[in-house]
Amino acid sequence: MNVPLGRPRLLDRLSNQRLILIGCSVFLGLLFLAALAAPWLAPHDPYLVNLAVKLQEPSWTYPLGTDHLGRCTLSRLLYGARVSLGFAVLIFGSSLLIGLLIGTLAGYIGGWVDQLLMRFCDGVMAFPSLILVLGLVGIFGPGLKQVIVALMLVQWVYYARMFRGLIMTLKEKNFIAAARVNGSSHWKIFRTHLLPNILPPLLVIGTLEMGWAIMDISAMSFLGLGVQSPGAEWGAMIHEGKSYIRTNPELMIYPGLLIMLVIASFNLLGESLSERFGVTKQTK
Amino acid sequence: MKPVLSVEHLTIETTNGQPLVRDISFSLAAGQIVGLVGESGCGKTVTSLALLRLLDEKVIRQSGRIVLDATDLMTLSDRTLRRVRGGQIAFIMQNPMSAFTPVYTIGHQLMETIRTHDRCSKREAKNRAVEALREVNLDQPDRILKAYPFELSGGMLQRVMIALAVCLRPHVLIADEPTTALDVYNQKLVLYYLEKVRATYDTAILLISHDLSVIAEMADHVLVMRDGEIVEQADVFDLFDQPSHPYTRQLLTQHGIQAGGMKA
Amino acid sequence: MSLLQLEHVSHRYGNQRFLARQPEQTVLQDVSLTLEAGTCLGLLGRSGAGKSTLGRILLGLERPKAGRVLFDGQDIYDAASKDFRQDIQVVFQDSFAAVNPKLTAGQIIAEPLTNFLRLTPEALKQRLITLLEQVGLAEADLTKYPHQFSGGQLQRICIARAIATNPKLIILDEAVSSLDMVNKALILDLLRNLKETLGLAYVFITHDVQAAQALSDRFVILDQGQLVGDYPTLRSFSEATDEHVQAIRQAVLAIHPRNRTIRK
Repeated sequence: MNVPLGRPRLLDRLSNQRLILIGCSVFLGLLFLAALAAPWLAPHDPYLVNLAVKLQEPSWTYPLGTDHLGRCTLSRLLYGARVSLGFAVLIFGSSLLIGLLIGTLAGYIGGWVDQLLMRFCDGVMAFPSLILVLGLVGIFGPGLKQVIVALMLVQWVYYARMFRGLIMTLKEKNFIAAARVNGSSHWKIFRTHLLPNILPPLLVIGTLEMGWAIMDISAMSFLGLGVQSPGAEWGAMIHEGKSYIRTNPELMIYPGLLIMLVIASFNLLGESLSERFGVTKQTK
Repeated sequence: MKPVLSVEHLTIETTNGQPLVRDISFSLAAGQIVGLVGESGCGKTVTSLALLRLLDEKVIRQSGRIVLDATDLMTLSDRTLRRVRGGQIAFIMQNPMSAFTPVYTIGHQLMETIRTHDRCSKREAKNRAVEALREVNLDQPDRILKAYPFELSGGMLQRVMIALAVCLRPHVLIADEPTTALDVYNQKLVLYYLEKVRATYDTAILLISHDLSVIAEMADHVLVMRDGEIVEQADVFDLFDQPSHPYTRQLLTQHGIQAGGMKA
Repeated sequence: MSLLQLEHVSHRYGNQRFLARQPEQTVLQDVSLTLEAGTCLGLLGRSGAGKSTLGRILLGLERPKAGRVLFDGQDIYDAASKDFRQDIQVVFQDSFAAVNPKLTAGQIIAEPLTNFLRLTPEALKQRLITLLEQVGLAEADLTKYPHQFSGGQLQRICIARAIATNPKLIILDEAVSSLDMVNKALILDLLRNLKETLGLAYVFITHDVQAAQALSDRFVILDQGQLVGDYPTLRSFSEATDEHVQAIRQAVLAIHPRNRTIRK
């Protein structure tokens, strides 16, 4: 039986969990769809330079106006979504998988394997991640591909640590011991017992981390290291727009607002998911 | 004997109308141990949380009176309640590990609680904590104050909880299955110190347990609970020798006592 | 030839990190004992005496630093021996922690069956139903999840899982210690019946003397990793007067308030 304990009233008013869950999912879902459908939705070619129509106000032809090179802002935002979101998924997905693999090996096998892998992770984590990424990009040279690889190389250690912790906690539980006594192979234990039980925290962390991945790409592009012009990407757009901050602040505001909304949505989604999964505890 | 805590017609139900506790009434006098016995899920824990008004009022409706020293707790504000909890009614829970925050030392948590209820300096709080730990025979109290919860065993943590109760000198102590998570050796120790607190400070204790042996050892008066109702209330000897409700008789039989007689 | 033989088993913990040496702790010291088929050995002692470690060693989960564990004459840790896991099963203390919360009862019980036997889906289902009936549950329970069961019911599912492959020996690691009085009595009854009908041998690890006495034919006491008492019959155990048995008996709580030991 669940014994619900009371919490301070203020938090209750702020967290209408279900509404947030649905709201954020819908928003993000639509955004992803828009990104996928960019070639059909975008009214213009995002790379088409036309100095005659530069820095225009929103109009029917150009719904959000144009930038300093006469390119349609809306189209650039849509195509930018593909880069920001798409590559965020790529980076996040691959570093998560690497982290899962390494973390599981470390957590499940333990012993010197664990020590070796974790000391390596400690070394990487000793550097602030952004500095490390900057350093790697400095070695590889600027460019989108290089940024992606750099981000992947840096991110997986955090996931490895996290999965290692989760696996180690699970490993101690008696149902894992019972599974071994029942004759299950290690692979079967991982598939049937460990993975399904890591899924909830994975989902929660995943949503929060996606926000970070987007942030990282945008940040790199803003610094001029990721997507180079004429590439369309939100961070790069902010970078280009900063020279026009006094006359046409919207060049920075539109992409900036989008970045903020997306990251906030992912965070809120993550928080409401974590509340949802966290509450499934039984007390007698 | 004037009751220190008087529960009158306490009813607890979920907002969907599902009843959890139905119209129960009982009282505790100073220095008295009232045992609350029943199977898991009968409403014992919900009752104890209700006494401290710790239930989520969005999901649970609670009615009735809970009179502590002439004040009805149901009428108090959150702020006042916070002073009552710990200071006048202390709570010892089943799993001692979950009563403590894992990232602060025992000393930090004890002193923080003491200083929340009584204005005193850090040094005074520390001295009181050390004294209290000595009263429950935990030796090397300084070492214990510096330790983290996970470094102590369940039995030791329960004694620390009792020590905290000693520090705050509450009028009422609610112990919810305090010995269930412990082995037999530690069980006896914890009960021994509960009795010591009672005898020294005249604390009224509501002792909740599913184990009739705990009740037999400690209680003066017994409440038998089933499905949210108190089906029988009696003096402990009367209950064990002449139970009137069939459910009580069933519990006693399973405990090893033939109704009306005594099995060694 | 005895079913189970432990020869001079010793075990230590510690020294797991190569950068930080930790002092070694001896958990078991020179433990030797035998168990005949179809009998129940009560293994008593405080928490921390090494009982659970011994349980893990018997289950093949941890290789002892010294000594041998012989089952049907073969060393279970010898790679050349046959896989004994079909014959040695376990029931743990906390049933909720002993099952994967994401699996249904049917999937939980089926795990050893699918690992060790080749059964057709119909035969598997039939076996699951038979097992559920043997432990007092119904076919409808096959599709339920652990959180839908009470502690007592879930423990029955764990027992069904343990007997699924017709083992010869079951390690009961505090199997009734987390249950309330009612369920404890019921589960002990069930275990006794299964022992008789299926010819099972048990190693009943527990700190609860009364539970041990309800099920065991022989008794040994473990204190700080060493075997300090061996009583081949219930009678010799209940009549023993040495200090360890005294300590255990003193820890037992009274059944009737007349025999109170804490409050006088």
